[in-house]
Amino acid sequence: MNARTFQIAVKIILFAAVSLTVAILLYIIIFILYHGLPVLTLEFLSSPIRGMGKEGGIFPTIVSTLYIAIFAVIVATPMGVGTAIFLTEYTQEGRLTRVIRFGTDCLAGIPSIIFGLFGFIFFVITLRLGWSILSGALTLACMMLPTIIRTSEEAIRSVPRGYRDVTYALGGTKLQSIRHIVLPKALPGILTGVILSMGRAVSETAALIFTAGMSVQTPTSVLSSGRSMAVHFYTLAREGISAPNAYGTAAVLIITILALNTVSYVLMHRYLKRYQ
Amino acid sequence: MKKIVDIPHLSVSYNSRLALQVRGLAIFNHEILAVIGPANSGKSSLIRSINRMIDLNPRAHVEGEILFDGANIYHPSFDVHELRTRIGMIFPVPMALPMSIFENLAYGPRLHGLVSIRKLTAAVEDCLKAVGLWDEVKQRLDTTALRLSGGQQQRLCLARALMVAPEILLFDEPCSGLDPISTAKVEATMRALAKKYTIVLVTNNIKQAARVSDRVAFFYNGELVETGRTKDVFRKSKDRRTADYISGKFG
Repeated sequence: MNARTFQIAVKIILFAAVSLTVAILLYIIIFILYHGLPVLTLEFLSSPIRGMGKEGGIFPTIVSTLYIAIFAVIVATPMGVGTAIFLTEYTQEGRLTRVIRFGTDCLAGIPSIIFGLFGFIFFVITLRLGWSILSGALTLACMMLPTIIRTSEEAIRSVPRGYRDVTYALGGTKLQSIRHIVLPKALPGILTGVILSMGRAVSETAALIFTAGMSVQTPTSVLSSGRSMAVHFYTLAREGISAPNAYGTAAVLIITILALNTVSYVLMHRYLKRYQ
Repeated sequence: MKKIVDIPHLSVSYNSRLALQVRGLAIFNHEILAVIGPANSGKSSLIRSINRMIDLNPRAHVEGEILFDGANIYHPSFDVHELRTRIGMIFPVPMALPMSIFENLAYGPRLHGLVSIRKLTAAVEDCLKAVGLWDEVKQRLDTTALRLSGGQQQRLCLARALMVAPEILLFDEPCSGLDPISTAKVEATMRALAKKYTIVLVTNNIKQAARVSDRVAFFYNGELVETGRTKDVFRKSKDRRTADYISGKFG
């Protein structure tokens, strides 16, 4: 085979790989939307669950999902970003940072069901939070930490060394350098990590069944139990309650995640433009 | 002339490898002192010791003392942030921050708590005029500083350093990435600034040292070989190594 045909062969293989990837992705999305969209009405979105999901809508699950995801982000972001700042700005590379980094990597590899079990034993039972939005959100926060730490660390590390020196050379402190230069500059990267992990939180099932419970009621406080969209979908499909409603829920889930990513992308783009 | 900085003895080492040793070096008020010497001669270690930017390098270890206005800056009670406010620094690569020209200049005073837009605006104009950048940028103070040319960015950084009213300016090879015309502008600015400030210029460009400085200090292998008035050193240096270096035999 000469170089030219080889080139062409490689191009074809790569193109095939790309097409296949895109095709599978589109197929999943279209399949879900095709089956789900017919069920999607304003009523479906706004009415309570009736007959364990056979009838009625999914309003309580939307509320629970948002509640849990937002709470998890609020808890995990300061902890994760704080850890990243500590690792990058306040310590030398050494045994300690390696241990912390290894720990977070291990955390990232743990299956979500294990987090669920941990959350159940620790938050639900030991801390007596019960099956609640709070237990679920805290469990998800633990799951989100590795992603947030890693992406924030990357983002902070990629801020040029010289930017920090500017602050110091003007008589500024380390805190000022972090607050005024490093964090604003790293914000898009940090947000990407937060959004990524939020997407995971929205679609999490296993960890939530054990911690947030399965109540079909709309949660009234952080201590009420509530089922998220993903859990609801799982139950509907697993127990054969209603396939159309399951697809409807899945469609809402996918649209939510798409919307989340789009909105954050737009916000980030606008921010970047302003800052550069 | 009055000594503003006096270095009776100073040694800097990295990972316990000695990189610089100075015995007796003074910097006088309103002079331009050029620090010259080949690579690894300790020039950068010296000026980074003067504003203690060297503290940021965890491998660096400094011993000895530097007297600034009679006070030892390495004394534990000496406020390093105040020191760096009074001794400004210009880096080899122009470090314009990713914000507008105005915000770049306002950054320093804002770190120290100045918020009055009126005062900031007046100071920005003064400092941009001092570096000869005002006419070039006055129409676009609110546009990003990153679109300025390299030479303009370097003068912007200089203006930014002036904003916190320093007494000494440390230039760490400020023209290493600039074309000859931008270099000439920066040099002219330095000459003008010497009326108000004391300047220490580290440079690899011997001709630049000859053009701008009042005095030179020649370093070789971490050792201060010779200091003297620029004219004298360039006409007839006391040490053969200095003569060889400035005549281009090595370095």
